Amino acid sequence: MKKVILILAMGLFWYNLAYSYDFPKILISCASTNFNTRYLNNKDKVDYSELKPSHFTGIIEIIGDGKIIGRLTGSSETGNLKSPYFGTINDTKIIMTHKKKSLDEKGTIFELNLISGMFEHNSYLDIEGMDDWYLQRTGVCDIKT
Amino acid sequence: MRYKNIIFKLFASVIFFLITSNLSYAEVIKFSNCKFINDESGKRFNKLLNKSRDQKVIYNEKEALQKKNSKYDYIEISFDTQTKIFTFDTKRKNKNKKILKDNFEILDERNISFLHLKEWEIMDPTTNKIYEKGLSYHLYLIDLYDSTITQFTYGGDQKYLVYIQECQSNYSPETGETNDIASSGTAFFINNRGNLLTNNHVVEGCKLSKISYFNKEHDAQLISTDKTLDLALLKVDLKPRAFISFSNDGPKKRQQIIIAGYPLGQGLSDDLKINDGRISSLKGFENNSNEITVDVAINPGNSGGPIINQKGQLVAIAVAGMSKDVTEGINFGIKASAAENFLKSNNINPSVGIQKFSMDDDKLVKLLEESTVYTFCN
Repeated sequence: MKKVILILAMGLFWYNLAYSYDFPKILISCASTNFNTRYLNNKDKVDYSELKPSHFTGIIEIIGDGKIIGRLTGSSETGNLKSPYFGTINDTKIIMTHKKKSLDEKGTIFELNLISGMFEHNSYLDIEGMDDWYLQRTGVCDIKT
Repeated sequence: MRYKNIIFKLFASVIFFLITSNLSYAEVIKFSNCKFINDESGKRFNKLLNKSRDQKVIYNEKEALQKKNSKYDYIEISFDTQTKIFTFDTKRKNKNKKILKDNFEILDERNISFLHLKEWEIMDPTTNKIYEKGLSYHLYLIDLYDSTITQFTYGGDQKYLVYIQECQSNYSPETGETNDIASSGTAFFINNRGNLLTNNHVVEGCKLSKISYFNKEHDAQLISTDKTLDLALLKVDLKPRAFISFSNDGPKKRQQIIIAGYPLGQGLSDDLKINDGRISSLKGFENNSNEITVDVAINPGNSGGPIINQKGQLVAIAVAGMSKDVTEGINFGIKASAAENFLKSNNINPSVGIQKFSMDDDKLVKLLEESTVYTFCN
């Protein structure tokens, strides 16, 4: 009995000492399978191309009521990926945007369907009249919570 | 099976209520007097600089923290749990104060978070042209039990700890209620109409300040404050037996001074403590010309107390001391001239002393006893 109390007391002591809040995380391991480019001078024209699946990973932290911050880590197959991303999560999808220089820019949007695991990674240009993405990666992610 | 389901739902509701009820009691949770207790970014920066330095500089965390803390007049943050809006109020020494307001998220009964996306730019001072622009992602985690603020920053695919600050809080984890931060200090009468001067940090966050004068407690009304100077003007409905007039002469180095106050509050004893020393410098911390440096002991509780000359006239107001574990006899007072400006801007003309000769000890003690009071948060 004494041992049990001692272990409990030690456990409580260490818990208190080592306590620090850990944001809930979603880990994704993804493969890009398509890379698409839109023509700047003709927005209806897109070059679609299939890729050898290129691997990248991501950590998405839930930082509050449906708010997330995500980091994508590229590999030699994808090259460097921009990060961090800020966005929202609900029970079906994650949408998060990376903005580099200002809050007004359209940036790069990563959208992940949490049911199918399919993702779209769209880059936008801040050019008037150019509201569609100009670069797009698509593929599938394995999602771990 | 149906009953089992209902019982489970009921149990889950009770647990959820217990978790959320703690925070819903509180209205405004205030963190004040925040100090850096961890400077991870400084450590990283030093490591980075050492790579290009011929002679490596060893990072001294204690010194780095002291230096970082001394750069701020104050750091405060409050969370309105009804509106879910926080106010982050910081003031660097000799700089304008910065206020950041935004929404925050309640993570659980203990933790609050908010993300601050900040646009930054670097300007070329010669051409005034922006040569670099960017966006920084700062995540703040507030621990209500430990009264700490932890800042993380995100860069590329990395998350970095920037710093941890420890604050005074009005939040009680046991009850989930907010109280006034129990601050106390010293104040003194400046006229016979019941006006008193003290430090702003002594009365800050107090719903009602009180003074103790000849064993009687009196409510003190807060008339005005100046966070930069760290001064506050109070008023009580009584005619004091004596008050302290301002010195007409500016402070001088080596000048003998006398300080009165309640170091460590009335916990030490309810008797007024009087010490003497000398002015060692006409400037305060980091060349602050509104302050003087004195060698007389200033301890917590002395704040807001009068520093007078031998004629019984106000020379300065005790404000702060350097950390006693690394320094000795380096303490600061706000110059009487700065307090004079503060009073004039509040339509109070301080009385200037006409006494030409030094007072004897008995008279000085009587003056201080009759004009200096213990002030505390109700």
